[in-house]
Amino acid sequence: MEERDSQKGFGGLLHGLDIRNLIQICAVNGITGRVQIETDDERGEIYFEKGEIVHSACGDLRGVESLRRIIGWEGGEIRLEPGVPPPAVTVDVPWQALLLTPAINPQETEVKKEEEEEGALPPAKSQASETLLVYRLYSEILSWQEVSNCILYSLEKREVVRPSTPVPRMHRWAEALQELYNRCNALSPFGRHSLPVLISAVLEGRLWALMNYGPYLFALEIPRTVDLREIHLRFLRTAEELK
Amino acid sequence: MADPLREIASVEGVEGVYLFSSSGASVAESRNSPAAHDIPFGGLRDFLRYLAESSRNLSEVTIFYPSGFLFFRVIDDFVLLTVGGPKANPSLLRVAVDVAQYRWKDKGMDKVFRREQRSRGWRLFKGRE
Repeated sequence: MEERDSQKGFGGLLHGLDIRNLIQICAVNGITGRVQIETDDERGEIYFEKGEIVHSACGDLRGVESLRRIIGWEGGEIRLEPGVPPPAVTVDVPWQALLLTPAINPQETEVKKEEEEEGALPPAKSQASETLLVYRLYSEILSWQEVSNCILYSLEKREVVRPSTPVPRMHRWAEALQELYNRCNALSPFGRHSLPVLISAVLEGRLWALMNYGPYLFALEIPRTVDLREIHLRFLRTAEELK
Repeated sequence: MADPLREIASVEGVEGVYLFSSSGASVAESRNSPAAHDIPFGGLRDFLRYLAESSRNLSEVTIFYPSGFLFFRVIDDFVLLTVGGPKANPSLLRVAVDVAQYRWKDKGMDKVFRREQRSRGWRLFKGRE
């Protein structure tokens, strides 16, 4: 390793290090900065913020797709540049889940694409874990125009898992909404076994739609004019599509 | 005296409208469905108190079930509960409640819902104490 700039702390060039191992090292050490990876014919970047991957770029690819491409590289020159801020935030998935994501091999992708076009294979489906699916669902919901805030709450851990660095009021909202969710489940109108399929609440003047997904609770802040049942259907459809 | 809850009860698909005090006591009711709603009294009373206590933060809750929904609105020291069937539209109901709430508050909640109307108990709800 060549020391490039002692003012910036740990940084320099690395050779022969597995990309997945590199991600783990940066994550565990809470690195903030840029990692540039260069092979003979490709170049990619991964940006970390306090150990979490927040952005990645490779050619025309951005976000998770870019990371999957980079993870698939077998060699290259790696440059660590601590303190470099990301130009954008395109990744909102924990690094642990990203490491479970299958890498994209460029040649494999081409072959599969050709086979899919010929009808030999069904469209490629995500093999990601349930956790990854939930995080992808969260990222997808964030892109919905009518959703101004989305909180992903783990009912098992009893904590906000997304956004990764929630502002204090999000913790307050999440706690209030989680308590409401539990209390609503305790009511059993329309028959003893009836459980809510959707809950909406106006909390501090904001309308939230609460939807359960396995051990997670999604809280979506939406305008009052939005049809709650439509939002629920869209949520279910998106979850199904991501599977 | 005209039933002040009738306007909300007349919204299509609404089965019943109930107004409770912050302690969970019944104040007024207007229902279309003769069937009793199978809400355990203890559970509902706790829920109403919880809503009334957190009214500054939580002003409205709608719980959707496969066969209908419960719409709660905190109005001053009262909690309004509307039971909607499968045909009820929660958006239309919200507008109807907004209009009624504006009228009631303009006149004064205590005047609209007089004391004599508060004698009704929990007879609509099974398992009451």
